[in-house]
Amino acid sequence: MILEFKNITKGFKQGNKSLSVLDDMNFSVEKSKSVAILGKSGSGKSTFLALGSGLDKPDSGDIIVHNESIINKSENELAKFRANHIGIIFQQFHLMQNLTAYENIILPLEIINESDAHNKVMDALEKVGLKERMSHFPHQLSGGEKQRVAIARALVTEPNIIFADEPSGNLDTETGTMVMDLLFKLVKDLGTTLLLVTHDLDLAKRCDEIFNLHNHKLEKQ
Amino acid sequence: MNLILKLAIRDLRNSKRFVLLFVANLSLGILGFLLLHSFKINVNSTLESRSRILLASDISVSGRRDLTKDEKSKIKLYLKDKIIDSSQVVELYSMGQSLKSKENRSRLSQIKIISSNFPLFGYIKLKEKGLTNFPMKKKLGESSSIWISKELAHQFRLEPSDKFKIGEKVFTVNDIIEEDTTSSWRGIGLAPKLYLHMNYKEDLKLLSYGSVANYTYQYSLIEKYNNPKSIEDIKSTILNIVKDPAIKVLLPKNSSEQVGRVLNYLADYLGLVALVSVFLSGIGAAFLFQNFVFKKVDEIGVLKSLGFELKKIYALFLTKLLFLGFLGVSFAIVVASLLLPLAESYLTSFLKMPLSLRVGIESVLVSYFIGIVIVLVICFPILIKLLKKSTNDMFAGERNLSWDFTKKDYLMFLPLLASIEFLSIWQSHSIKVGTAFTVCLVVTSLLIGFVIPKMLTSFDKILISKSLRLSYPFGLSFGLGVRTLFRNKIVTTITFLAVSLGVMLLSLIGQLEVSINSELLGTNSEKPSLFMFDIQAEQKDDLQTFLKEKSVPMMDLTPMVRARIIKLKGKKYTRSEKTEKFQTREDEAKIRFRNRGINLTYATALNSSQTIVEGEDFKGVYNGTGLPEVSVEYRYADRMGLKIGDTLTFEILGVEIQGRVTSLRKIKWTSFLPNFFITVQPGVLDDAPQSYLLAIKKLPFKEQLRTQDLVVEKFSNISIINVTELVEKIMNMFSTMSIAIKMMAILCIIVGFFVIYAIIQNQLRKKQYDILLMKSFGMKSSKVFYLFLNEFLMMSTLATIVGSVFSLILGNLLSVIFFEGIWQIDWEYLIIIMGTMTVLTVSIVFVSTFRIYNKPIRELLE
Repeated sequence: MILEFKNITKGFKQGNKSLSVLDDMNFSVEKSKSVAILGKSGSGKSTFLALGSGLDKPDSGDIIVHNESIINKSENELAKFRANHIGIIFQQFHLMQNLTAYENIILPLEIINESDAHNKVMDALEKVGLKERMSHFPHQLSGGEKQRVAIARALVTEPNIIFADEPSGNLDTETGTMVMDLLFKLVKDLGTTLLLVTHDLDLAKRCDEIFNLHNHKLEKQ
Repeated sequence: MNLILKLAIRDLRNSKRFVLLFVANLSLGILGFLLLHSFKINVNSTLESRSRILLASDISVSGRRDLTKDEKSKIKLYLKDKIIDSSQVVELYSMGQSLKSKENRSRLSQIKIISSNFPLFGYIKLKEKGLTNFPMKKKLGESSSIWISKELAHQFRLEPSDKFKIGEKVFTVNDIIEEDTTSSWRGIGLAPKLYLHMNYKEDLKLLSYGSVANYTYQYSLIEKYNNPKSIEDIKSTILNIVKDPAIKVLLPKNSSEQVGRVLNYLADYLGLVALVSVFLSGIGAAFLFQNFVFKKVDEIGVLKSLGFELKKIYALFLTKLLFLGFLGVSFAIVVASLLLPLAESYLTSFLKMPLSLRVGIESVLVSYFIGIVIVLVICFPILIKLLKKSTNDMFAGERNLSWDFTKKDYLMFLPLLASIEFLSIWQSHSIKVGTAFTVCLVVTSLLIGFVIPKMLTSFDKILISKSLRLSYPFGLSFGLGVRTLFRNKIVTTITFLAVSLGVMLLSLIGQLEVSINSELLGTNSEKPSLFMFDIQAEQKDDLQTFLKEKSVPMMDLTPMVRARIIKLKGKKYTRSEKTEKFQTREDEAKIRFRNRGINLTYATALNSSQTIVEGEDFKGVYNGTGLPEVSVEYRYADRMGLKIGDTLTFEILGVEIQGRVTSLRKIKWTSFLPNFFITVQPGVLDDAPQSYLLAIKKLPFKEQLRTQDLVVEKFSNISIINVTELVEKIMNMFSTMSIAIKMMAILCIIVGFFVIYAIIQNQLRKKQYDILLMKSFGMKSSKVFYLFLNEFLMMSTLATIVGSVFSLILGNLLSVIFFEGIWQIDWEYLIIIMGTMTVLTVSIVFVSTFRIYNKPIRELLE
C-alpha cells in the first residue's frame, strides 16, 4: 500500500462546539492507482487531503505513506518527506506570482537540491505543452495554463502520490477536461498514485476507484 | 446619502486591519508637523502677549547712532501730550574687567546703560533685593553700582560689593539679576549682560565716534493713543521726523518678531523635515489604499452591476477617505496633546519664556486640512484609475487586476505636486527654499520611482533571469528573495523611497553638522583668536607698538567708517516697512538689510577670505577722476538690488560721497576676519573720521586671555571678541538646533519604517499562500524566514546606501550654495546609520512575519 489511514479521527473547534469531520476512518490505496474522493461541500474532503499529504495532523490514528508513519514526524521532517514523496495540485493553482512558469516548476526541485533540475523542468514543460511559455509570469498565463504549470510542478519531483484538490474547479468545462486529460495521462505514464478530491462524478468515474466521504467515513462505491 | 454613509461605515468596520494601519500611518506622518505647528503658535502667541514687556515700552526709537539734538527735540515736541513716561537705554559691547583677581579678568560684556525709569513695562528682579523700582534705579545712578547677570557673575566669579571696571570707571557690584523680562532667547548671546545708570555714560569714555552702540528711546503712551491705529500714526510721524533708514521705530509686535526670528528660522527648517514625514505617510496611505480598493474591486463591480452610479461610488470612497483622514489626524492630535506638556518645562527654561504648550485650534484645523488634503490628492488618482476599468474586469477580482499606470495618468498627481509646493513655501516662508525643497523631494522621488523599477528590470534580465537556477547566486532563500525584490516593483520602489528619504534626511543633517563644526573649528585655517574693535584713530599706533612689544601676532588693521546710504542708483534711499501680507524670509531679510546702518572700509587688496565673483578689483588708489570704485558683497548687493555699474551715494558726517559698483565679492564669513559689506577704493575715505578693527592671529587659549587683560588694562575702550569662545557658542547652539532637526528626521524614519511595516503586513496577506506553498513543497520554516529577511534586508541596505549617496550629493550641493563649499564626510556616522537601519529591518521582518510561520499549511486548501 502506498497510503494507509488507520482509525483516523479529526475534528475542529468552532467556538465552544466540537465538530467531528473524520471519525475512526480507515482507508488504503495501492501504488499507481488513481482514486477519487467524492463528497459534498463541508464533508471533509479537504481535511482528508490535508492529512494524507502531511499538511495537517489527525487527533488520533495513524497515517502511513510509502511505508512510513507520518504522524509523529516533526514539521521539518514532514517538510522533507513531502518534498520527496508528495505532490499537491490546488484548485486555486497557487503559483508564485513573482516567479516565471519555469521557476515555479523548478522550485520544488531546488528545495531537494536536485542536480538534474533543468532537464527535468524542460521535460515537464514539454509534457504540459508550455515550453514556449516558460518565461511567462502567472499573470501572463490563462487559467488552463496556470493549472498546467501547477501539474508540472507537482509531478516534476516524481512523487509517489499526487494529491489533487478539485484541479478543474476553477476552469471552464472545456479547459477543465483538457487539463484533467493531461493529468491522468501523466500520472499513468509516471506510475504515480493519484488521489483526486472532487464533487464531479463524471471526473471521479475516470479514476480506478471511487470513495464517497459521507458521515465522517469513506465508503467505497 | 444615508446608504453611502452606511456602506462606508460598514465597510471600514469590516476592514479593521486596514483602518488601523491607515490611521496609524497618517497619525505618525502628521504628528511631527502638528507638534511643530503647535510649538510655533504657542511661542509666537506667548511672545505676542509679552511683546510690550519685551520692548519695555509702547513705542521705541532706536538706532546705531544717537538721535541728533534736532531729531530729539522734534520728537519730544510731537510726543509731549501723547506719552505718560519715557526712558532711555544705550546698549554696547565692551570689555569688563574684574578687579578681584590679577589674571583672566577681562571679558567682553554687554553693557546696558539705563535711565531710572527703565523698563517702562516689565521688570528686573534681583537676587537679594527683589523687584527693582524707581528709587533703586535712581540709587544705582548715585552709587557707582551695577547689576550683573548670573552668567557674568559666574564668568568672573563676582559677588555683591566686588569691584568691576568698565571703560574708565570702576563700579561696585550691587546685586545679581534673577529675572529680566526685557530680554529673551535670541540664539547666540555674544556676552553676558550688566546694567548701569545713564549718569555714568560719559564717565565710561566708551562712546566716541564710530563706537558700536545702540541708542534707544522708549515711550509709554496715554490710553487715548494706545490703540493700533494711533500707534501706527505716531510711528509714521516719527519716521517722517527721522528720515534716516538706519533709525528704527519699533512697536511691541516688532519686538516679538525680532525675538521669534531665530526660532522661526529653525521652525521653518523643522517644518520642511516634518513635511517629508507627511509625504512619506502619504505614500504609505496610497499603498494601503491601493490594496484596499483592489481587494474591493469585485464588490465595486457588484455595486456597478446593481446600478450604483459612478458618482455614488466616488462619494462612497470619498466618505471613507474623509473618515480615515479625520480619524488619522484626530489620533495625532490626541498624541500631540499628551506629548506637548512633557516638553513644556524644558522649553520654558531653555527659551526663558513662560510657555504653555497646548494643541491650539489653529494647529488642529491646519492639521485636519493638510491630513485630509494629502490623503485625497494622493489616493484619488488611484481610485479614478481603478474606476475607469470595465465592470467585467472588476469581476475578475484582485488577482487578475493589473496596475497599468500610463505616463498620462501621472498627470493626475499634479494636485499632489502643487500641494507639496504650497506647503513647502508656507512652511519655509521662502519661495526659494520651499521650491528648492520641493524640487529635491520630487526629483529624488522621481529618480527612485522611475529609475529603480527600470534598474530592477535590467538587473532581473542581466543578473537573475539569465541563470535558470533559483538558488543562483547565493542559495535558494537569496535567489527567491532577490527575485521578489526585483519583480515586485511597486513594493520595492515604495520601500526604497520610504527608507532612502528617511536615511537621506538623517544622514544629511549629520553630515552638515560635521561639516559646519569642522569649518568653524578649522584647525589649519587662518581664523584669528581675538577680534578687536572700537580702536580709535589716535590709539592705533600705540596699540600696534604695544602688541608688538608683547609679541602678540597681529593681522593688518582694518579701518571702519560709519556712513549712511542716501542714494541708490541715483534715487533717494528710503526705508522699507514690513507689510501685514505674507512675506517670505527673503523679503524680511531684504527689509532688514535695507534699513540697516552701514559701515564702510577701504583696502588696497582683498584679504584671504574674499574673492571677486563679478567685475574687477580696484585700480589702485583713487586719483580724483570719475567716480570712486566700490566693491559690494554679492548677497548684500542682491538684497539691495545692486549690479555692476550702479551708483551709491553715502553721507559721512554731512559729507556726500558717490561711488560706482565695480566688483561683487564673495566673503567667507566663517573666517572671522574683519569684513564689510561695502569696501571703497583707497584714497576716498582715508581722511574721514574712522575707528579700526584688528584681528589677532592664532594664539593658545591662555595667551588669548593674557592678551585680553593686557589690552584692556592699557586701552579700556577697546572691545575684544574672543573668537575661540564665540565659535564654541555657535557650535553649542548649532548642536542644540541639530538635535531638534534630528528628532524630526528620526520621526521621518519611524514613519518610513511604519510604511515598510504596513507594506510587509500587506505583502504577508498576499504572500501567506506563497509561504505555505513553499512549506508544502518541503521548505523549512527557517529558510522561509531567511527568504523574507534576505528580501527586506537587501532592500533596506540598498535603500540606505542610495539615501546616503543622495545625502552626500545634496549635502555637497547645499554646501556649495549656502556654506561656501565646505564639505566633510563623517564615515563613522554613515556606518552607524547603515548598521541601525539593518538592525531595524531585521527586527521589523521578524516581528511582522513571526505569526505567519505557525499558520497551518492546510489553509492552502481553504
